[in-house]
Amino acid sequence: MSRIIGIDLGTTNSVAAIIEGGKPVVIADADGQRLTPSVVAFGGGEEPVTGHNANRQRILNPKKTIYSVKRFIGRRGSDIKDEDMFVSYPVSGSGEEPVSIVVDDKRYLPEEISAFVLKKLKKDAERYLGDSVDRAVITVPAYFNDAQRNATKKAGELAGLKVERIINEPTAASLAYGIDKKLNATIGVYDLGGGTFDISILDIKQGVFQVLSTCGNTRLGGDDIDRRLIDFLLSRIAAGGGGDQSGNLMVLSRIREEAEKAKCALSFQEEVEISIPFLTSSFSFKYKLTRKEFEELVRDIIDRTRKPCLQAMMDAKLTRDDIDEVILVGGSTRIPLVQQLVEEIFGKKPNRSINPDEAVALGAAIQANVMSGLISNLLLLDVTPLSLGIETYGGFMNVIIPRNTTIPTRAGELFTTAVDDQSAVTIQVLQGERQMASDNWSLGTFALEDITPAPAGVPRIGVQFTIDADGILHVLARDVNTGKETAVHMKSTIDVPQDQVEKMVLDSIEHGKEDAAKKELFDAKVEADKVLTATRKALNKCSHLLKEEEKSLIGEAISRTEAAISRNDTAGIKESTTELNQATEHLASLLLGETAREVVEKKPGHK
Amino acid sequence: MVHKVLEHHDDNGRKVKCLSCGSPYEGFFCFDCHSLLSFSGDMDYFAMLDVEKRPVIDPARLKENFLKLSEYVHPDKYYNSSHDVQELALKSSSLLNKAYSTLKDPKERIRYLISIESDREAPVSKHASAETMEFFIDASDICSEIDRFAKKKGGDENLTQDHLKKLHELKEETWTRWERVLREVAELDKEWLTDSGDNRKTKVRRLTILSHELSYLSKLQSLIDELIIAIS
Repeated sequence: MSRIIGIDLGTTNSVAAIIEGGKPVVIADADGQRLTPSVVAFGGGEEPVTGHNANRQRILNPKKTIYSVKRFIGRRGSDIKDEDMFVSYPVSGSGEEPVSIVVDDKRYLPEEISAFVLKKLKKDAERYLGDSVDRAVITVPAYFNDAQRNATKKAGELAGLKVERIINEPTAASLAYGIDKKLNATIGVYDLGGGTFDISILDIKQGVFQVLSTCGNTRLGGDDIDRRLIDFLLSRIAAGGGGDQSGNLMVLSRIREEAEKAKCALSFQEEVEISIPFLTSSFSFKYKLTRKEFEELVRDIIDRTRKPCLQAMMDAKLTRDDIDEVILVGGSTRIPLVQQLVEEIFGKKPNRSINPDEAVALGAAIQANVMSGLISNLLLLDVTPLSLGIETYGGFMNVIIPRNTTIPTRAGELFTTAVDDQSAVTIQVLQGERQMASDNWSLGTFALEDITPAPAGVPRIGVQFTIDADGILHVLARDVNTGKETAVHMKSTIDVPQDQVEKMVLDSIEHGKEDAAKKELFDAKVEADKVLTATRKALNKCSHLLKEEEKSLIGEAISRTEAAISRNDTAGIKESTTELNQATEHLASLLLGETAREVVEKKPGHK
Repeated sequence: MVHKVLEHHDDNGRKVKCLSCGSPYEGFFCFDCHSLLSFSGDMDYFAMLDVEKRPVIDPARLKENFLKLSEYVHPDKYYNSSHDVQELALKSSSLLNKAYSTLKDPKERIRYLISIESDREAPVSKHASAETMEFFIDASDICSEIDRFAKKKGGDENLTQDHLKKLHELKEETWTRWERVLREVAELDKEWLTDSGDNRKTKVRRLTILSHELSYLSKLQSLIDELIIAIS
């Protein structure tokens, strides 16, 4: 049987890992990259582009470059607030419909987009191992509900992977942290990623990793911080005379890129110069952002992780003094303000010894080897993050399996009829912590049918709810009188039938068939973007050495190129790219000089 | 290693004879030949976790037994076994988890013990002592007042601090009462295994009342915890 790989399918980046020589290692792609951006770009030929190549298109092709799709996976239209729609590509779905992404009039479900990312990871792993890979352990945020877990599993299937186990990200990270140490400790795992936040508290004892409690927010992460910063920059741009750019997708994508860069830089330095030259043909933007100012901007977002931490401690019936270590996971934990908050909540300096980007995938690889029996002295006991219940009379939720119950778990409930000779009972299954059924997430409904006619209250139908080790729900109904058992199919609103999904996948492939004109446009855009990026970089470094008329010539060429890109005008793009190349010849030679000087200046002993 | 599904019980329905190696075994797993056992339905949680059937049990031993058994019955350990064995592992593991979560919580444990002791006799009235009831009602009133405050946004910082202080005091008080009840449970636990007849019956009746006290107090605890989180 083929090897099982571990995959962290992240909001921003995804990582694959495997055990080699007894140690979990990250699988790098052909270019040596360890992180694969969870980005899928449509545009060119047959299949969409994924990973780094797709990421490069974000500015060029904002409407067809799909990122952060994890925020939408397993969700319905009515779950998505306007603020969640803050992505540069069109997201549709309202009410009970699943959320979908529309590219070139084709609708894609979030799991289909994720499948493209998984396919790339699968391919990279196959190249690395020199063998086919068709089995994986995939991680999800601990606070993901049943629908989100199912959708993630489906993404794996669509990518041609048998998903052997879904495990929770913080739990996976704890495996990577604890496997080599003979640990006997109570730890907290604080996982703030690109789009989701989890806190889990675990007891580790003689190789058993027992989760005591977990809490989180599946819509909280680095994306929210970026967005806050983008809004701020937009207001500075408007105030500086750059006009209202909030509707200009291409400009927005550039601002987003700069915002993200600035955020990362501020984790290591006290201030950063944000510079976006030629935002319009006549306006260049520059702003010096200090860490202090940044922290004030995003403090309330980061502070939203506090309550889940307190909740998790209370659910585990522990105080902060009972927790020996708090491990940081997820890229956003590089932010000093996050580390400060964690220290304040838990009363101790957080432990930053594991790689926040890779630990989850490494843990998934460890669990993969547990599944194949290659590791036998380790066991994971996880919990279900959300209470499971059913709607009862009066619109209340009746909890059947409380949150933080160790999985697998099984609970039974007896149902009966409300009127004489009732032949079917419909039951609504819910997940969540609120009292009113309508405030919780509805997993779907199922019907108990063919009930033998009898007076109200006489029939007895036992329903068994099982949450398996993946955290996924299975329902089995049993007529107590006849003993007949039926596996109940839950009609989930976001559960699109398999054949429909297959059709959607086929459609997308057919649609993407090689189209010469499109391909040419695509290539022209990529080329243009390279030149644009190089020009902007060069301007950043040495625009002060240029004459005014040179600057305005370059500025015009940039705008012409950008305009051609947004018109999808292949010939125009090619022409303006050539012009831009010509206009920047002097700039390029200056840059060469500037770079040469930098090299000299950086030589040791040279000040 | 062969995992066989075993369906054999001896006459009293509790002992399971392992068919793979013949060792008599009670529980989920035959430690002699390492096979999952299919156990009979009437085995109680105390027996499953190999602890004495009494009101007070040693939490460390309970946990140790739970973890050890989990290592043998968890579905992860049977991932490459046949479908039947996987199903059995899922069933055993679910039951083991249920047994552990019941026994580790004093309130649930006592309730469970009463249910098997009294052979599901008609339950006595749901009342706790008048004193506990009064405390519960007063405390709930304070909690509802703070809850109304918590629902208004942008509360005054001083008031928040006052409320927090009050909640922590209430929590402390609830905890003290909880401990007091548990001390009485420990008293009843003495000579539990040798008690019989009327003596045992009297104890069970008293335990029933104490279990109600614990229910009220634990409800209050979670109410207070929720409010502390809401206003912190």
